[in-house]
Amino acid sequence: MKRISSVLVLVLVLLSVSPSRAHKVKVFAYGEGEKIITKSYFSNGKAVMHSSITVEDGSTGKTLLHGESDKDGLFEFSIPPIVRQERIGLKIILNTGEGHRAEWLLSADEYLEDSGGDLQRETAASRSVVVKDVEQVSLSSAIRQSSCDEEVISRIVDDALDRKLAPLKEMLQQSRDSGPDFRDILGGIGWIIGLAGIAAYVSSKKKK
Amino acid sequence: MHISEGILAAPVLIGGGVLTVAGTAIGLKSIDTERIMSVAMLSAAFFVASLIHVPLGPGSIHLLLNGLLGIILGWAAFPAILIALLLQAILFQYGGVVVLGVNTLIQAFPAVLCYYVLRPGLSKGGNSRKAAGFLGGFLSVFLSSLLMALSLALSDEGFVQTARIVVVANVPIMIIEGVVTMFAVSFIIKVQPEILAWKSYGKEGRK
Repeated sequence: MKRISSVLVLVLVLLSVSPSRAHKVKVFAYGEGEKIITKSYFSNGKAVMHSSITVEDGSTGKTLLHGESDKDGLFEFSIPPIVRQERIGLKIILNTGEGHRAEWLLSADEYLEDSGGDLQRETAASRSVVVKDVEQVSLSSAIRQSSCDEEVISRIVDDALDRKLAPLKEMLQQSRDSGPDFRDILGGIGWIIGLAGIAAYVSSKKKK
Repeated sequence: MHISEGILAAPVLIGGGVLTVAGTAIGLKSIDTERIMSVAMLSAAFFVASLIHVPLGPGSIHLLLNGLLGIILGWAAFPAILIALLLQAILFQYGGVVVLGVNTLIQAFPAVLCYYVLRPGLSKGGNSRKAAGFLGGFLSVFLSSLLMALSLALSDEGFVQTARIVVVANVPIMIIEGVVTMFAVSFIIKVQPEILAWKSYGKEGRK
């Protein structure tokens, strides 16, 4: 009876305190329109909740802003104007406070892919749509408009690709370092036994 | 229980490295030809234990086994843990080569301490053996958490808060580790009593 109750207590304790633990944390960031989204997770894929995120200037190491991941491990911030103007590469640092830390470099090209002439292009595009809807178009403007349409289409495609590819990029990043599999573990054991063999050989030489 | 690279300050890294080298030297001296295989086997066990995550509730945990290594190997726990952590750092990027010294110290020092404190209880047998086994697992993880918090605190963050996070996170592991070490020790003593016998024949394991 005593044993059963102690086992029960043990189980209860284990169920009540069960932090998500893993060896490695990862942080990943991507730009989405005007925002940058960072995602933090453990190497087993679980989200890292409520951990501090620091965004630094990648080249000078100057801290740009701080934040905290939410319960899904996400943190998003709008791109600061200075960063946009000077096309600064960002270094995003995750620190969980218990010895886990990860970094992710986000170059300006990645998050500013198409936002260079973003606003102008957008207005031009919407104007052309209005033009198309409201006015009867002459042949010459039709030619002009086809080039506008191209712009609109390429922008739409870019946007859609960005959106669709973001989770894919994330998946790639995650799969690249999913935890060690059986083969890796066996390999490690092999190493240890091999080292022991060398040690045994050396020590047997010494004895002679 | 790995500290990632880039967190610790240089003095902590160097201090940990120096102490680990010293501990490893003492450990290597205590290994003679007959013990090489048992050191390697326990090193392999340590290597594997921290790779296998057991899902538990919303999270997952893994064993450390440093208490078991300490009780059985004494100072030889240093080289055993060093090798296992080195392989984990190289093969899986857990921890890292630069922080290897500190990480080894964090896990091997409590192991050696357990050896000195608990070995007498272990050789008595009966309930005191069980108690020594449990404490070996429990205390080693507890001390490791404290050391980890200390090395983090020396570098950057406040000790009390860090210690609380790390120790609380490790409470379930301490308990499980205690139970597992208790059974492992009594099993090993039953099956292969000579694995514990090396010290009683004289210093440095010579027969």
